[in-house]
Amino acid sequence: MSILLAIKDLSIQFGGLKAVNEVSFDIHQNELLGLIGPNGAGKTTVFNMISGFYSADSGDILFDSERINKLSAAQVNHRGLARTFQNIRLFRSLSVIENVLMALQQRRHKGSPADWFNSLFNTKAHQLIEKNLDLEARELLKIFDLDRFSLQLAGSLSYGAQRKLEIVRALATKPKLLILDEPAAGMNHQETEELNKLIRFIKDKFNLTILLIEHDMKLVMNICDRIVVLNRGKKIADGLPQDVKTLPEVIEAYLGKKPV
Amino acid sequence: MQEFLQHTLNGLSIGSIYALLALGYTMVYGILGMINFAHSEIYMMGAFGAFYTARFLNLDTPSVLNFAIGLLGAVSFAAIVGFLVEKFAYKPLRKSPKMNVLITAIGVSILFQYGGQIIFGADPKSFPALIEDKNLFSLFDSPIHLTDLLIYFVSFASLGILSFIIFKTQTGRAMRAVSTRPDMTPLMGISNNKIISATFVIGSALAGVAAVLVSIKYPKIDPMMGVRIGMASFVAAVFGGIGSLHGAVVGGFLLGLGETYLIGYGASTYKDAFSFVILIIVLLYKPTGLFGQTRKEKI
Amino acid sequence: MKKYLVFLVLVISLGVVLNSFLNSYIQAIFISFIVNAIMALSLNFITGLADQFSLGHAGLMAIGAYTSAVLNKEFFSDQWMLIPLGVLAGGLLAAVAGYLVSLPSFRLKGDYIAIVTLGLAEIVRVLLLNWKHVGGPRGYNAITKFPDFWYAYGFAIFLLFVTFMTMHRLKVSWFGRNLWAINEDDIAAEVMGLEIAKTKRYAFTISSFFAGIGGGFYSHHLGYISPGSFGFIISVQILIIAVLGGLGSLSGSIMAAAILTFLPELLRSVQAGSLDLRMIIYPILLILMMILRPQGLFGRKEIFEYVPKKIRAKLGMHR
Repeated sequence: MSILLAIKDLSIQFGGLKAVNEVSFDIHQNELLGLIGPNGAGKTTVFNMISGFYSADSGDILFDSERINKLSAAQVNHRGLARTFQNIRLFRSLSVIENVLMALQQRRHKGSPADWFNSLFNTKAHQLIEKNLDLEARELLKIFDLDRFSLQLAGSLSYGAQRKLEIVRALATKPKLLILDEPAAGMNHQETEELNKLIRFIKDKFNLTILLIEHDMKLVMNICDRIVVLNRGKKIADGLPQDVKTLPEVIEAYLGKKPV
Repeated sequence: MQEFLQHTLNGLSIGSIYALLALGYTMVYGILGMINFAHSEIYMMGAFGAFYTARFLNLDTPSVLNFAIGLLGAVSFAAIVGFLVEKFAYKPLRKSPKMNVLITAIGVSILFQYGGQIIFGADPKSFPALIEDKNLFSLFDSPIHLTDLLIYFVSFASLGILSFIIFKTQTGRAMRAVSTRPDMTPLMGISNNKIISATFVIGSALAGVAAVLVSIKYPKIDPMMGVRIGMASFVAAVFGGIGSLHGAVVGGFLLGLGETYLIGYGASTYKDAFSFVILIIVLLYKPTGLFGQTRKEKI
Repeated sequence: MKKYLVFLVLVISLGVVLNSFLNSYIQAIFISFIVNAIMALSLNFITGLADQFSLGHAGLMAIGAYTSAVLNKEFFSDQWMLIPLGVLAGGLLAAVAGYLVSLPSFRLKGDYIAIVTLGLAEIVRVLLLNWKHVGGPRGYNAITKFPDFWYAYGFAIFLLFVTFMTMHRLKVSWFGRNLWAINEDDIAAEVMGLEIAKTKRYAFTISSFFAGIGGGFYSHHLGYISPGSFGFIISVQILIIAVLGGLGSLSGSIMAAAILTFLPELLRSVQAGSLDLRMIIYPILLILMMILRPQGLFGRKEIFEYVPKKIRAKLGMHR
């Protein structure tokens, strides 16, 4: 299996604190990798460096063999990497379909001279593009059973539906790698089960590689092909779920040292 | 050599004024995240405060006492105006987008400029001679005036008092706390509103001091007198790192020196643009200024 | 198509009224209103739609004004037929200036952009003050003027039409949606692949172009310009119009320009020295609006969005 994303010796420092300390791991094509660790371990920081929001102090991030350290978040997305947010960043005052359209149009309207001309003069070509985008958005929503909410405001959806919509929006950018930032946050048992099914579904249907950052151990153990564990900015484990969960370092990271 | 010394002394003199004003900008930015456009007009109000105090009390002979009274008049008037502006124009917008407060500040600034022209009259007024412009002694053939010495003395004294307040009093500690974590300070029993008001009052008081110091050296005052000096001081604050007290002081002195050398050795007509050029260079290459700190935004 | 014909008829009728029944003073006021509208639209595009606070539009206006004036007088030998060319050149030069300004600036936070633009406008003003060739502080005189009212009026309406239509079309298309997304949540916009700095740069360049156009036209309307006519206070006056109309509302800018151009003139006949009071009333208006009604007249919506749905359907509008 080829490697889609490779992290080598990644480090970043805030003030005097090394938030991420020479972390290395790989994600293979079509793999579902879980990134876990206690609060403050550095998961989100690694994640923000990969997605282009923070600039690493040292180390390499290689996506599809290309070094993407210096790329902006938008450029990272153009390379084929999409992400969701822990606290859901939907455009709440836009409708469900408009949220998806917003993502879809980034791929279609790249700002070429033709684009500008078409929109300024409202040409037939422009109207056709808009119509096709609309159809594409509807089809995508239908796959996820969200098309019945098409015209509703995104902010009015249930929490679970909003999470789903955020994932759909990320998918609209046609990524190779999808990073999910604590998608199960705030979900009850049943919703987490549905999320489990959803993630498996999109992985197959859209041929994705997925990096999952999560606290919910059941979901992680259940769904991940492999797990990387961080603690205090360093990687302390990397392997199959059933192996990793029995490692003493991992147990100690979560529960603290065993009393003598 | 003598010329250089003369320019340097002048530069430090004007620099100390910029420093006093820059502190007002930087303190307000540090605590509220806003640029108080109207600060230059509070400075102007200080000058008129001293003017009318002297007029009202008939202070027509120069003396240290009269100077002190004039200073008190300036400081009080500026502080009151600053307090009222914060309370009635800025406080209602605490929760509004930053742009709105900025627009309001511009409105207040313009209102005071043109309102001042109507109330005080647009013609420049002669500031009373509160202190005698004596030539005290010469240093390397450069005459040292009493006014200049007074400017150094009073501005350093003011900086000293400010340092004391900020670093050694409870109010100062509270001010620093509110600047960094305004969400936490109420939990510690600090009233954010009171501290914000105090910040404005102190900043405005410094502007009042600056106004008197300028007016004893250049005794023509008018309602538009704050415009240019306000801009230059603001640039000094940004240059030093907006939000940083040390930055404001260092920025003020450096800008004062720079401008004075420019006038002394070259193109004085470009003086107005000088501060802006510095500003743009700073913002492009180190937006946080000399002493500012970059804050990484949490995603 | 029909609505354009209606528009044309209205414009011609208005022109006839202005030309035949009203004096040249009122004609000049009307032309001023159009200049104000164009300037307000240009500021609104960057500050309202793109949420980038610019305090330097007077500087862009100056660039457009001086460029067109100098070109027409010294290179086009004062031929009034070539005025549009000069105005276009003014717009283009202003656009270049705007683009250069925006290149490094949009890494900065909102307040800083206001300061940078203010600073640049001041630098432009100081440079013009020191440039002897264009008159320095005494200004640039004897600029090519419009030969008659119809030329000036027609050209002005044309420019306003182009400005408004361009911005409107952009606002309702993908570019406008991108601008909106950046305002709403720039981080979410970025992860969808929207390049924020590039988008803001385009917006600023477009805004600068129209500011230059406005300035260019203005110079030929007045016949005389000086660095003093492009000071910070002008940027503030344009801002007041844009804010009153509603930051983000294009029709709002036009309405507000009308109100703030015609109303003071109406009051002038009632109240002596009202020119002074404008600079008191405007800032008070600004402060009160920010506190009580920050969205101005129309907020981010256009005037026709306030027309009830039934009437809009009848008129054939689909939004």
